[in-house]
Parts: sequence; C-alpha cells; structure tokens
Amino acid sequence: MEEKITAAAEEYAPAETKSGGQKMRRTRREKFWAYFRRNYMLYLMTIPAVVLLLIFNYYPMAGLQLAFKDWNPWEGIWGSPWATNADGELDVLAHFKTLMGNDLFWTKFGNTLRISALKIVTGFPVPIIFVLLMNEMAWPFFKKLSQTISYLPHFISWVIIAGILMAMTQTDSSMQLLLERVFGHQVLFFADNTSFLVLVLVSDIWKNAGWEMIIYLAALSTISPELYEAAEVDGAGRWSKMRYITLPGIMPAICIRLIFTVSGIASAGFDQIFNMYNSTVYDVGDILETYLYRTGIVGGQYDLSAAMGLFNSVIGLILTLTANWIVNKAGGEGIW
Amino acid sequence: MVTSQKGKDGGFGRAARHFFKRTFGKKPGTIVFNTLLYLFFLLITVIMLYPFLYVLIKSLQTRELIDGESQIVLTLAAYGTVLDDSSYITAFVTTIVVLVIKVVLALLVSFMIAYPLSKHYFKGRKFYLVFLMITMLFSGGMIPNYILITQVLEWRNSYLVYIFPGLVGAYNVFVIKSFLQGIPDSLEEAALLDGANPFVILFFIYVPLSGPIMATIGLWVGVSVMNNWMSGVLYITDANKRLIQNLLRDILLTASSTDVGGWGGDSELMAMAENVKMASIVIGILPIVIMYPFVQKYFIKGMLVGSVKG
Repeated sequence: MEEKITAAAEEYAPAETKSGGQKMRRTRREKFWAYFRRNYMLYLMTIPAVVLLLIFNYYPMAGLQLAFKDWNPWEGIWGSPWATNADGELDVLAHFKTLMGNDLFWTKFGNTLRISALKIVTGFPVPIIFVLLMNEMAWPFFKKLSQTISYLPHFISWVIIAGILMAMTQTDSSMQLLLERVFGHQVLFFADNTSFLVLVLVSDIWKNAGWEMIIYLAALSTISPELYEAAEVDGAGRWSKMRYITLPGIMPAICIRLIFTVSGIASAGFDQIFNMYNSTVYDVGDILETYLYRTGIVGGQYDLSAAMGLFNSVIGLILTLTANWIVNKAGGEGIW
Repeated sequence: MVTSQKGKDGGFGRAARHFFKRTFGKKPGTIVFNTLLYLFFLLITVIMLYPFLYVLIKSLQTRELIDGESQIVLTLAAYGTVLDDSSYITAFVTTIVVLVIKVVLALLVSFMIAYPLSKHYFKGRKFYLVFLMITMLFSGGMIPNYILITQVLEWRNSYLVYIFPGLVGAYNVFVIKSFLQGIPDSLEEAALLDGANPFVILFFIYVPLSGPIMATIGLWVGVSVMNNWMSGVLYITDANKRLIQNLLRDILLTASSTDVGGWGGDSELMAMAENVKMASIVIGILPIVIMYPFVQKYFIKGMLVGSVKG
C-alpha cells in the first residue's frame, strides 16, 4: 500500500533534472513500466470497444477503396483490381467519371438538395416560433404538457409514421373527405409529385419540430430573470421583452443550429424517404441515398454505389467541417 | 365586508380567481392574447396527438353488415387477431431479447472505454479520443458495411446483425466520459489505497453512482433497437427473425409500395383488414408511449449533457 502511494507521488512529481542522458533515459523507461504495471488494466478495458470500432467502423471506411476499384465478387474488396475505363485502361476515377456523366445521378442529387433546402426553409423556424410563444405561457402545467406531447413523435420510427400517413390519406379517410370538400377533389399524396413533397415536409416537421425545441428551451433557461425584471421596471411590454431579451438570448443557439442544419444538406433523410416513397414519385422524391440503395444493394453495382456514397459523404464532411469552423470563428462552441 | 366575501366563496373560489389572474392576466388585451396563446398550443397538442388518436380509433372500428346496412362497430377483435398471430409474438420476443442484450453490452463496453478516458493520468488518452472522433466524422457508408456483413462476416440471417454493428457509439462514450469526470476523484483514490483494481473501481464505485447516465444511454440504445428496421431490410430474409419494425414494415408498407426490399411474398399479412393493421401499429408503439412520460427527462438530460464539449 505504502509503495503505491509513493509510486503515485513519483508519478505526479515534476521530472527531476538528472545529469547524464543515459541515466535519464533509463529512468524514463523505468517510469513508463512502473506506470504500465500499475495501469495496464485500464488498457485491457478499452479492448472490446476498440475491436468493435475497428471491425464495424474502420474496416468499412477502408472498404471505401471499392469506389476506386472494379468489384469482383470472388476476390472481395481488397482483392478486386483497380478500376478501368471503357477502353480497359487503368483509371481509378472511372466510377466517378461515369457518375459525373450520368444525368440520373444529377437528378437524384438535385432532388436531395431540393428536399433538404425545403426542409430547412419550412422546418427550421417552427421550433423557434414555438419556443418564443411557449415562453409567454404562464401556466407551468400546460407548458410542460405541450412540451412533453410535442417531443413524443421523435421516438416513433419512420416505418410507423409512413404506415400511419398511408392510412390517414386513404380514399375513405376523414382527411380526404375534408380535402374533397375544400378543393373539390381528393389528393393522392403518395402518387402526385407536389403533394408528396408537401407530405414529406409536413411529416418531418411533425416528427422533429418538438424535439428541436429542447435546445432552444435550454438556451432560454440560461437567460437571467433579472433582465426581465429590469425591463419591466423600465416599462417594457411583452413584445419588447421578446424582441430585446428572449430572442437575443437564444440567438447563439439559433445560429449554431442553422449552420449545422445547412451543413447537413447533402442528406435529405434516408429513413423518411425510403419508407414513404414509391416509383410514381421518383421524379422528385428519389434522393441520392435511396438511389444508392437501389443501384447498390438491389442492383448489385457495388463499386459504382460506393463511389456515389463517397461523393455524398465527402460533400457532407466538407460542409460539416466548414460549419464547425464558422461556429468556432464566430466565438461559439462548435462540436470540436 | 372582507370576511363575508371570504365566507361566501371560500378558499376554492379565491384560488381559482388567483389562478385565472396568473394564467390569463388582468387587462382585457392580455386576457385575449393569453387565451389565443393557450388555444394555439392546444391546437398544436391536438395535431401532435391526432395521428396517434386516428390509429387508436381506427384499430377499434370495423364495418359490419347489420340489418343489410354497413355500419361501423366498435370492437377489440383486431387486437385479438394481432395477439393470436404467432409472427407478431415472435417479432416482439425477438425485439425484446435483442434490446436487453444490446443495452447491457452497449453499457458494458461503453463504460469500459469511457472510464480510462475520464482519467487525466491515462496515457494515450488523446489517441483514443481521436480514434473515437474519427468514427463520428467518417463512415464507410451503406455498401462497404453491406459487404462486411454479408460477405466477410457472413451474418446474413443471423441475429448478430441486430446486436454488434453500432454497439459502441463514440457520442455515447463521450457523454459517459464527461459524466464520470464529474464524480470526485477522492472516491477512486480511497479505493486505490485499499488495493482495488480498475475493474473493481469501475463496477463497484463508479457504476453504482452512474444511474442517470446509464438510464439515458440505455434508453437511447433501447429506442434504437425498438425502431431498427434497416438491419432487417438489408440482412434478414428469414421471416421468423424479423424485428417488430420489419414486421410492421411488411404489414404496412410492402403491400402498397413498389420498392424491392422486404418479404414480398407474405400475402396473408398484406390482405389484413385495416383495423388489424392499425392495431398492430398501436401495439408496436405502445411500449414507447407507455414508458415515455416516465423516462423523457433522461432523454432531455442526455441531449443536453452531449452538448457539453468532450
């Protein structure tokens, strides 16, 4: 026991200046072994997680080399030869060139950007408006209740939401009867391009707007009540307090959310689209990731799809890093 | 005068008036504004709940011919049909078993790496942090993962695909790490003096103090299993090995959509009556909806812990 304490004390003590390089090096090595003998179990502890990450995260990352290779099912990713172009010449970028020259690919890319952009425009302000209005409610019970209920859809999977939406928009549903009365005809949400987009946007807001309030509510709770009291003394009304205290108070959170939402523009929500779309709305609803699924997993064109995936994630990565850089530059706290 | 007033409507009336004043304000303009505000949020709440109520009501309704006329009848029959269906029970049991195993393993493995990382004297900490961070920034994407599972590991139609991919999340590790850093070092030092090794310290000192964070991470992992449909679509073709979401996907979506995933041939499920479909949704989301009010604070806490820099 005594030894342990002295060892620990040595460990934290400032390095003594020793004369003679040879001696010092040996001491350092000894020190390291003393440290390792004492703490090797900490390293043992990390092994399971490290092994899992190596297999399920790092190995697939290395597998992205497939984007530069011609897939050979018998050789696997590592054994497949490097990609060749149409003339059989070595060209590792062959798959990317195929994609760049493919109109379908650009259509899907355009669809991805369109859906993301529309989601940002329609969905981003909603939680902010909710939070600003919620802040005006003086009845804690009702406030809590409406918060709790609006978080709930976040925990429901897109499989179930898509199922519910299909049931709700059936020809004999009350929603369709209402639409018939208002517009004079029913709306085929899962077969008409524009209506499908509307459904995608509305259901996305329904699922996520409540949950996104949490960040803003947390920002709200950091605003000092004294500010409001002082403003009241100065005769500020409800509107001025919202405009000059609440909104500036949550502005940093809004900026950070906005930057990161915009940086996610390359992925338009695979889970949602995959469960909601069908071939009749491919023109607007088919995004890059669903297209990738169909060409890769279903169609078996692994190499081309890997190139597509790499293209998409590189764009996503660049945008995310840029976003983080901007947030850090602006004095906020990025995620890194 | 004052006393008679008090005697007339008693404590309750006063409390009600007080409540009204606090909630709706005093001036007419404020009262109108507040009323509109409450109505607005009432509307939002109803919209949020409407799809759930719709499903619930539809699951209880069925059309029957009574006296030669088609009428809507309220009945619990659909729930009987669902619960009698062995495929539903199988999927439910599979999901629960996978959930328990995955939650336990995920907590175990994540705590075991988070604990050393929470120690400032742990050499190589920086390296580990970068090693974890990289998994948050880059991913192989769908195709390399698919090849790994189907051709390298050959886990097609194996329950293992539900458990091991994504078992360790770097984000979870960071959240646990920052929680452990909040526990005073003196506890660990005392145990070290008693000759305890790191495993003993972690499992007998730190873990018992980590209830809230275990609940948070456990619930995240649990919800991800309850809502996992992707693994089933990609890797499972055996209908007896489906998770609940895959069963629901087959019942609800495969029949009407033209995509290629899933188990197209299950004609019995496709022909299901509307109320049976809706009842299966209700049963599918029931575990989450029932647990949700009690556990939501952990989700929110975890969400906010995560926003603290690691």
